[in-house]
Amino acid sequence: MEPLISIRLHHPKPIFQPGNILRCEYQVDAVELQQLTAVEASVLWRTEGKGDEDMGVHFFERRTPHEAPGNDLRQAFFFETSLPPSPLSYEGMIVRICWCARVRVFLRRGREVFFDKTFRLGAVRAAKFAASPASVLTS
Amino acid sequence: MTPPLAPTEFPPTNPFSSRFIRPGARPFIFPAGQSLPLLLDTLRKQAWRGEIVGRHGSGKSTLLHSLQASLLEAGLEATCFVLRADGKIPPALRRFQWPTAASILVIDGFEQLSWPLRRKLLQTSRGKPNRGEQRGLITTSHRGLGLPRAFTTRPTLEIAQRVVDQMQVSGAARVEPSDVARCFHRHEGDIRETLFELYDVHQSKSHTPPAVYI
Repeated sequence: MEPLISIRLHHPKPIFQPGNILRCEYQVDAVELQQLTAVEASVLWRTEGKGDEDMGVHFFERRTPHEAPGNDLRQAFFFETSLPPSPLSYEGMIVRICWCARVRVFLRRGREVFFDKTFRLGAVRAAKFAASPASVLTS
Repeated sequence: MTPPLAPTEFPPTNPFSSRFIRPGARPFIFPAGQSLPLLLDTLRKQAWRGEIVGRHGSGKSTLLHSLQASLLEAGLEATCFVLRADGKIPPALRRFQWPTAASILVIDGFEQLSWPLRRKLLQTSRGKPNRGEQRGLITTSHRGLGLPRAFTTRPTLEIAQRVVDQMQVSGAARVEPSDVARCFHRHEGDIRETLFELYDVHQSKSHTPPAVYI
């Protein structure tokens, strides 16, 4: 059975502006203590769409059992980070830029699982599908 | 009319994004009567020497990914090189030395190699069974290049439809069978190009309004 990963953003809406502080709490549950070898939390952006994908890590922290109180990685952890000016979230027709807080859990025997909590950075207009290029809205 | 997207909603990921169609992202779908165990059996009988042949976009690399996982599960050591049409040959492949007595070299895009290098690998891949050398060479190419044939990829519309069904299993199925058939025939059976075009079809049927998210 896969462990449960919960991520909570301390913000009324998952929408941020550059320079905002992202406060995040995460917890891993439904897994035996001995199964956990490490937990990584990151804030990253990635592209997806028709072409090659790209990504950038804005924030990263890794915790191992000996760094956690009681050697227990299942307790709730918290981090905060100031969000950068770019890249801004974008919903295009052939590419989108997605921001997320990601928690990756490393288990014994090399297994790993992760969960993303998506949020939006900035207020760039989404592209609209149109038959003619002239009617495509841009930011 | 489709309602506007609420500011806090995120449009679902297009299931035909490149991350979902790259080789290895999905298991290879075999035609009726064929399977991965049968392919493994064929390769075993051929002393782990064999080529997977098929046209561009027919699933050779995807099949190779599925096969590699099975080789590892079978306890066979496999070294894999993926060659692209840019003609660049990894230095590690030029200088390749068989690492152990029992190892298999896997090359995706065997025709990218020069004839002398192909010949060298074909010859050395036989090993010397009387000395306990159990080597193997498994390749993909667009045409036969000197190894015993292990599998020929021949995509059909039915297989393309099954691939699309799998890709849309977790979300709303916006791509219809008629879309798949149209794209499949337009690209003359090239599954990769078919999926590439279906990205646009899916996107055009998705609701992505020009909203400002503030």
